[in-house]
Amino acid sequence: MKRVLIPTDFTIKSLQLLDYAILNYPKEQLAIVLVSGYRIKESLWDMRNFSEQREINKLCSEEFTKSKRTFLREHRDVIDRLNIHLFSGHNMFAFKNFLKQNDIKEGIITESQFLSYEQPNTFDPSHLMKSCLEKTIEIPLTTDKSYNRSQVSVSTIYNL
Amino acid sequence: MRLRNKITAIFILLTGLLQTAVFIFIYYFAQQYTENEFYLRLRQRATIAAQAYSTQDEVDIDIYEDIRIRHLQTLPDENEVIYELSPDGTLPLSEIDHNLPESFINVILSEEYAEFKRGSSYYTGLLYDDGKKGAFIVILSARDVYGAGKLENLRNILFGAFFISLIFISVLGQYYATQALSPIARITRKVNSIRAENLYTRLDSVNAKDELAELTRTFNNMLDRLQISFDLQNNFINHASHELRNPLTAILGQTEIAQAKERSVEEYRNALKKVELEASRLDTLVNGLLKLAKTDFDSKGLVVDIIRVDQIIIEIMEDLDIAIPENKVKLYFEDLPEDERQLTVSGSETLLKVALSNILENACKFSNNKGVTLKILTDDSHILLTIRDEGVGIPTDELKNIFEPFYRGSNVRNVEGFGFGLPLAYRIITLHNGEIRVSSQVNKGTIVKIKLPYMTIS
Repeated sequence: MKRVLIPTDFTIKSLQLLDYAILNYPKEQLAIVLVSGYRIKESLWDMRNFSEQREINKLCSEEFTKSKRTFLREHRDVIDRLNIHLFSGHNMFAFKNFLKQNDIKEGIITESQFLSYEQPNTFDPSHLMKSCLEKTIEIPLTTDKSYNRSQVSVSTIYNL
Repeated sequence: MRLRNKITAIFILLTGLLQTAVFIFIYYFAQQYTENEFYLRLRQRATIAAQAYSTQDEVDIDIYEDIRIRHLQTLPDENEVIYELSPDGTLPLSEIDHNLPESFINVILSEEYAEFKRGSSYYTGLLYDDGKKGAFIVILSARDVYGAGKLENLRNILFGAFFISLIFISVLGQYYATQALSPIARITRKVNSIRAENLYTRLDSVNAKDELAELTRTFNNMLDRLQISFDLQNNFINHASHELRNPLTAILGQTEIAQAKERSVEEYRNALKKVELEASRLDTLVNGLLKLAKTDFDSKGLVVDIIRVDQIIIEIMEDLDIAIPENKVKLYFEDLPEDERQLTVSGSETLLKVALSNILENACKFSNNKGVTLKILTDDSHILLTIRDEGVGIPTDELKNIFEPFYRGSNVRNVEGFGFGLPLAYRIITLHNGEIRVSSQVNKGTIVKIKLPYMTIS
């Protein structure tokens, strides 16, 4: 089973990268780990009471969870597991430990700043993934692929 | 009325109303306090007068009078009247000052003390009985000149403060409204300066998260879309002209060659065959263009039916098996919902067939008939179709153009096609309030996801 790391900012558009995992690892059972950087507040109380699952539940909107579930149903023949983790470290050593702990060597990232990380305390772990993973596939996604009708104007046909 | 003036006016009105309420509150309580204070003074004086009246001793009367004159001074228009009560505790009617209301006298008799105000004069009445001289009523009246003066002064100050603050508020309101709306004025100026020739110009981006920053971002996004649309329009003309010219040039070339000299029947036949081939290519192209143009009509012009998506797919597969017998499309219908209404869409059957068959044909064509899978799922409001192939794929940076008419991926130039299959599918899906999304990776494959809202009739 191939374990693949994919960054997420907990938006539905970030789940688009999951399609690229399917495309890039055909004929393989996948265990996908969605990861987001997360800064734990530095007070003793917050550090002692930090619960990864609780924070993940807070960060996942209803639409995000619904889309994730739909994706799993769509690709249940190839997706074995789909987990979400928060990386709360600061540097490459911590990230390498995170990868070792989760036994991940490959990942998929976007080339540009496709993901926005607008949720409080979250950050983009893509640069760490690029430096620490054995193999990363970069997808040049720049815009949301939900096209609107005005982009295609058929009236130009008559201008021939 | 300009928005700036409107904001200022609302600001002045609200602040003015609030101030008026506060000032009325202050004035009301100041007046109450002054009146109470004056009644207290009248009561004290009435008590002293009653005590002086009731004493038998002349010396005591002199002392009381002395205290009154020296320490309490006389109040403006002070008037003191004492009525003796008859032994049965009633007041002889002949003695009553008929200017005083009866209720006032009654309250004095029942409560032993009463207050009353007429015009600027204040009255207090006191029932006194120390058992020596018999019961009597002392009624003391006076005008509160000092209190009225103080209240008038307070009123003037409040009026003055109100008008001065109104001037300040209007100046500040005007300034604040100008400041608040200045980014909008800046945006308006900038947007007005954008023409077709400088469509690349963008508003200065702001990192803030307020409504104005959002407006700026919205404008910039709109300009992005406009620019894309302009660029595409230009590209479209180029591509379309090119595509139409190719077969035309071939036809003209063939006819010219055929007419250049006397030829055999076989040669003429060959030339005509080539002309026919190119003409049929042109015909396909023009038909495609017409189909593309027709879908731009609004949905009122369509024949709308209730369609079962799974049924349409089976029909498309039957056609596809005839058109491309070697196709390897696998249908996954395991997740179909039990309720068939969740598979019905309201729309044009012909158009939806065209859209879905275009996508499936593309999947077969560009994957060289390797495996293609089609899955149908439903969620709480949509039918979800996932079509996956393992074909040549589309370069990811070209994905943003695939729904543009005549656009063809850089890696499929050798595959026959005109580049309007996907744009047409896109238009049709959009027309049915659906969404289409394509993810693709070169030489690995393509995933097309279509989302159509199902009917929600009960």
